[in-house]
Amino acid sequence: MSRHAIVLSILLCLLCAVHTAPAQGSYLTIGLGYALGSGTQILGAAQGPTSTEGVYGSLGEGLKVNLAGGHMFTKSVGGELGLSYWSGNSFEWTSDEGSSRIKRSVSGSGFIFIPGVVFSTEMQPVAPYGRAGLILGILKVTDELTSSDGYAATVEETGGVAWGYQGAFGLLVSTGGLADFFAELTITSVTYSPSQTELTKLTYGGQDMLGQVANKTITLEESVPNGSEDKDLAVRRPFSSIGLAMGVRIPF
Amino acid sequence: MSRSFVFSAVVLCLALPAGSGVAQKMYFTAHAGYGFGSGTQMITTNMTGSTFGGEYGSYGEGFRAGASGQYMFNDNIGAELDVSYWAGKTFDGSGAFTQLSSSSRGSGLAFTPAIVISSGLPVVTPYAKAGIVLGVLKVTNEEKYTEFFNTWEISTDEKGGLAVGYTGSIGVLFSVGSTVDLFVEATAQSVTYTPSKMDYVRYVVNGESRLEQLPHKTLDYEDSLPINSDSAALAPREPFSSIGLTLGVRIGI
Repeated sequence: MSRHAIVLSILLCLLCAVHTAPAQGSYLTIGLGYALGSGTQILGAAQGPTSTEGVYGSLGEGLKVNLAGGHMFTKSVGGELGLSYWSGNSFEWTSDEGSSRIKRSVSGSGFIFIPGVVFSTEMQPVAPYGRAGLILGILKVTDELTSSDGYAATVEETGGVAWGYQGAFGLLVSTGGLADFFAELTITSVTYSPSQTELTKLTYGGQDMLGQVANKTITLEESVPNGSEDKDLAVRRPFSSIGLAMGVRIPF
Repeated sequence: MSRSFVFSAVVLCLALPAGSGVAQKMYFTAHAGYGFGSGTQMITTNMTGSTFGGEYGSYGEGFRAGASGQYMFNDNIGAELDVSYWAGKTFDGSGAFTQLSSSSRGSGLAFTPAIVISSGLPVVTPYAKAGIVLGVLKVTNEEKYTEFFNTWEISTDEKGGLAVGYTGSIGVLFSVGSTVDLFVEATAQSVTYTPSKMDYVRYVVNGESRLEQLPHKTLDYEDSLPINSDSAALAPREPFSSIGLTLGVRIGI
């Protein structure tokens, strides 16, 4: 993390040194978007009677609600802080394991903070712009399982801070009124390494069995003692995406 | 993947008509840099007598160098085609009980068509770039292990197929002459590589090559495969994402 922060800090310092024009004002943006998965990984395998099919995807695929505040230091360069809620699609598959048929569903969601730098052209009335930023995410992965022999379980992967980066390229359409419109292509690269998994539901034939489990929480670490029962190797969950977002920008 | 290209194409089509200036110019750039891994996954494992550890990373970590041609439609908007060679770092793994030692590294050529958005400021010019990465990549794996007084040395190449991803950069140009600029940029690349096959390139047992005796020297990677297939395996998604710094020179033509 620190190496990446250094790389971006160098660039931000260089960019801030470029302030040659007076401040150009602040703004608020509200938007909605949808993203397709990128940087996909294998999430599971659907074992059938004659074949095995990989389930590939990114948990970052889905709906995104965006809110941001920004300030243009010059006509060309500004800073922005975004807050976004990601509601990820569910990836579902069914697998035959012995005499049991197991249905799995995995999804991701959470809040994302995005401090970024904005580059804007001065074109009117349609101004292309670019944005680059860091991503800090408070995410959760929910893994649900139901089996044909009566078991149902839910495991949540939580803890830690997801981090990554985002680049956006968009067009700002000036209306001359109180608000301008924007549409942007957003590329997001995020990997989430949860710090723990927690068994939050376990039933058999509808009866709660959770109380009978000794270790409901397992800590995820990059190195674990051999034979550990409450620690496991850390996983990397893919949350990268590419998407379109649209919204309004209100200057003030 | 086609859906992603549609997204990109929509924005490109919207953006290009916006170029209304007349300061069109062609440039050539040469550059080198280093990328740190991002979007990391577990590459291999290290096992000692008392611990079991994951080696996490991205094959995109390492040195890269390349060149590009750039055309600015006006002071603010341009297009670029970049070709770079990625020389990835090596990830080492080990196992305690079989005296296993292994290494993996990625490498290859990346072609990157991109859009350039420049602030147009004189002397010191901030800019941003966004593009699509098309990679002809390879992952090389080597392992050596000993079991019951026999030693295996195996090398494989995962290759084939085209890696597709995205890149975004922010940078600053410093004018050092009428046609020469120096630049420094932070580049983030989100790339995942799905090789189409794995070739055994070396299979040595106790110092003697057994490569020709393998029933299948190539393992096909598929997203879906028949049960008990011995010539195919589920396709992996190899991480090649990175974030790094690049230094270079831009020369006006």
